[in-house]
Amino acid sequence: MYTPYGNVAAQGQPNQFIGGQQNLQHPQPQHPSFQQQQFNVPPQAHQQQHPQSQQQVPGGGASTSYTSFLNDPAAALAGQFARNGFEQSNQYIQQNFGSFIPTGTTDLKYYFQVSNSYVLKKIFLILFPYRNKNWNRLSLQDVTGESSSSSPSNSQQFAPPNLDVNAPDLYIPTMSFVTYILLWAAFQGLKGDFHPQLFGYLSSQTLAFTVLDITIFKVGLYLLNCSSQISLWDLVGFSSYKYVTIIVLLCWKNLVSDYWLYYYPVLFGFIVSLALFLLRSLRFSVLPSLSVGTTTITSKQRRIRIQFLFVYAVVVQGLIVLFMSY
Amino acid sequence: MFGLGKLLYIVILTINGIAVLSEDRFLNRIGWGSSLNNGNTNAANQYQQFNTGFDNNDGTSVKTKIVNLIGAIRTLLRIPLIAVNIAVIAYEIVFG
Repeated sequence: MYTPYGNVAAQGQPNQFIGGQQNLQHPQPQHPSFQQQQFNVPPQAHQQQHPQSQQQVPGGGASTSYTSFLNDPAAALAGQFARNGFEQSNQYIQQNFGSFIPTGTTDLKYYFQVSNSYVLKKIFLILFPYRNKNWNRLSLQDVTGESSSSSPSNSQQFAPPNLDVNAPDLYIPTMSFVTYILLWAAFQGLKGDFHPQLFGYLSSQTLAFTVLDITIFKVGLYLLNCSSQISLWDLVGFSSYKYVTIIVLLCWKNLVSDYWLYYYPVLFGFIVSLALFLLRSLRFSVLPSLSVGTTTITSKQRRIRIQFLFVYAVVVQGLIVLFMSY
Repeated sequence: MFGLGKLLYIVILTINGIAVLSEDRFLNRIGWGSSLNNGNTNAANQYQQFNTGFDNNDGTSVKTKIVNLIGAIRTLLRIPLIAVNIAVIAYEIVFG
């Protein structure tokens, strides 16, 4: 029986793991005369393939070499390394850019699980943080109280904001952002120099300050080599809590008193409160927690980190609040 | 007035300023050159990277971090910066 294509089909079985490129090609008619012709005038691509196929026709040597490759311990080790690195990079991407990918919306839902009591408590905490004793974020197991030992991998999951006052949310930041813009425009309107363009200017300015703020903190975290347990949305939340302070200051300034003797003490009082709140809340992101103790840092590093946190929470935030409530 | 446009200018000008730093005229002279520091320990670093997936352990000090950052910006953002600068220049010529 003479089938010019059958030869290739029979050849394809042992070959399909070794030379992937050979499977991609169209089956070539392998007449003896045609083969002869190809050998006489070999193009460059065929020159490499033909010796291979000539070798593999007689025996199944190729498949045995593939199975020995599977059993090779070095190959297994390399595969493990590759998988390990891939998982780590995947985790890194999920941690840093996962919030931009639309599939990660469960990540955003976490920040909007708020309740009335949480919002009240949090606003009170921002304005008067001196009464709060415990600043650690609760994990999910602390709240539910069950399945503590069964899943150690889930120990890093934090409780949602409606169960934990110290958890960051995004509800208060978005609402206070909008409120700030509307309130500023309203007070400008009371003074008589309102213009619709003011909304655009103000939102642009406020967003620019937020971006600048987060960039400063991110660069600081990178330079100080902090292990970033803190996600980007956490940072957005924490850096936007200052709008609450700014709103209160705006109301005080425009409704109670503009006179400097009454205004500046209130201003600095609220700035100090906000700074204390941020210092205590962001502490866990900059300094490794004492209870874990796996990543130890030297006292010098610790001092530099505390100084950075102080500069960020007091100086940077204070200047921004001072500028935006002006 | 400070806004998103000004912030964009600030970012572009800052990155331009970092990218324009000369390796052999300026950075190596003050000891911040990325090529001089890493030349010796490159192999060890690569081994560590292979081991852990990322280089978590090396470069703990602030200076090495800054040097790495400058080197990364200089190598990575050089070609995108050309396009961005051309776009900004064209915008400024037409509307500025």
